[in-house]
Amino acid sequence: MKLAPAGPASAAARAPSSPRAFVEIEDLSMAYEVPPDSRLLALDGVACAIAESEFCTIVGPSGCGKSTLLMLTAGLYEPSGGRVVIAGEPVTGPWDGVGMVFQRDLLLEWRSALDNVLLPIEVKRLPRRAFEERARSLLRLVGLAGFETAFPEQLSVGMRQRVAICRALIHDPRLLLMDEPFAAVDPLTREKLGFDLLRLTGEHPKTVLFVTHSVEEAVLLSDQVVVLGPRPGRILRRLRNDLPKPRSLASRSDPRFHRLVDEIRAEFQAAGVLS
Amino acid sequence: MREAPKVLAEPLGSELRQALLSRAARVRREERSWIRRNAAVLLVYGLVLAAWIVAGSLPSVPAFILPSPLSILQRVARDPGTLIFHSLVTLQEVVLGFLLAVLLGIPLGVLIVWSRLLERLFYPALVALQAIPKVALAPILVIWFGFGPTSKVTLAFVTALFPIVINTVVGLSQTPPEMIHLMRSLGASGLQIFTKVRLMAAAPQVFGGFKIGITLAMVGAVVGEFIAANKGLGYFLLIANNAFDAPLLFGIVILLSLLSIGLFYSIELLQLLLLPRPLRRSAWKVRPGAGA
Repeated sequence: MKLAPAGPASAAARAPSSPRAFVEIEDLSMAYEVPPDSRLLALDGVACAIAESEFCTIVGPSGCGKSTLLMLTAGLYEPSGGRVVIAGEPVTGPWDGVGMVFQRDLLLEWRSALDNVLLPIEVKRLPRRAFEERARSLLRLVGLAGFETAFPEQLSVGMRQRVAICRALIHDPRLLLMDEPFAAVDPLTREKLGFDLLRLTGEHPKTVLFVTHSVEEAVLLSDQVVVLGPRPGRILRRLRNDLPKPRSLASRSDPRFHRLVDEIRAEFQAAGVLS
Repeated sequence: MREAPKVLAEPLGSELRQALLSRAARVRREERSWIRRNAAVLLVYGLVLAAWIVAGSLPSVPAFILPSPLSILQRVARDPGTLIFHSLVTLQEVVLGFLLAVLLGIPLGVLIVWSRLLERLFYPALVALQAIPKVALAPILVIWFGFGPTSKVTLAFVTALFPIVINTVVGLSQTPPEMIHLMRSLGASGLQIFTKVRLMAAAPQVFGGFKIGITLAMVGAVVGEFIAANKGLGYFLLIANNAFDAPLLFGIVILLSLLSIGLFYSIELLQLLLLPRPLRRSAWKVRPGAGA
């Protein structure tokens, strides 16, 4: 069931001339069976490619199948059509090397912040001692030094989500899947968390697939924006984001930021999402 | 340094003495604040007791209808040995029945959550068992298990089982689906998801079931002793009733409720000792803004 770690050799064997993207989503469709006998088409022929260490945001209205796309990429659901290929290997089930963050932080209340971060290490039966220092440094990176022994109930919503992000990074996954991770956080903290995430992925380069409702957030964080239309989810547009890096609050006043946001809004308007 | 001779005069050591003194002062402060915090509660109980004393001493109220608290105390003090003997019998039945309910109830809850088939199999049977008045079961259990404590233990077990199973099921079912997804994405097995997440998260609910269960076990055991027994507080209650011994009757009822309170708070204490601090309330808290 698990995807074998694909070496560069196998990827090269498939496409010797042009290097393949790290994540390839090929004509992916997903239909849910709705009892008694109807089908709900959540995703319809989605295709895109994400390069190694690229930050890709997926933006779209509610119920457009954004979360489904993440589940399929993690190998947690089986697609009705098409496939996801990671590093040249098709995904057939949960595979090693994924870190996930959801809207709810899903911290275990009975574990300290440090023990929550180390949960993936325990599940994978890796030696805890070898990863403890890494967990501490991740917490330090998101400004939670000194909170290692705190229980989640003692942390604010934003701090809890930071711990959840550290938990997703502790086992050094190759792909970070984030499902509206900042949707439950107040707007100011939300911006701060976004920049924290960029700093983290700057220090530990990761391929990121980031689902959001917010057009501004999608533009501010990404290298590539995938715009999904209303159900059934189809790709309306893929935009390369040329906003200069590193991103900061100043990026918001860059004319290119506004141009991209307007372009995406125009797509939604044309699709009837905004009226 | 100035104080050096004084220290020599005190073999205890002034620091230790100071610590003990300040500790005593703290205990006194805490006692005072305890009284202040619970003043309303103490006042209400005091008023009820006073009303009882007044009502009991009214000439128009016969002693066999409402004996005064003092006469109850005197009656209980006259022969505490018999009361203790019957209390121990009942307590033993309650605790055994409750432990059986825990030992069977938790695995049953786990099976119900684990398998749809077993859920359909066990759930209606459990509800049916719960719907039967336990008094109606008692004669059957006496026929099956005799006059001895076994029939009472069984009745206590049957009464305590339902809340323990239901609370285990509710607790185990609360884990959000995203958490299961997160664990599976890490390659966790079903057993790992169960032991590392679901079981721990269910603990507050399970303890809630224990608290209801142990008080119901007391009801079950006493009902059993009512039907057919030669010892236990339920049996002794019948004896007192037949002898028109109102002070003893009231004394036994009060003793029963005190025992139940003791059992209830023993579970609470166990929860405090066994569970880490954040699990003394519900595990999956719903925070503002964390909807969907």
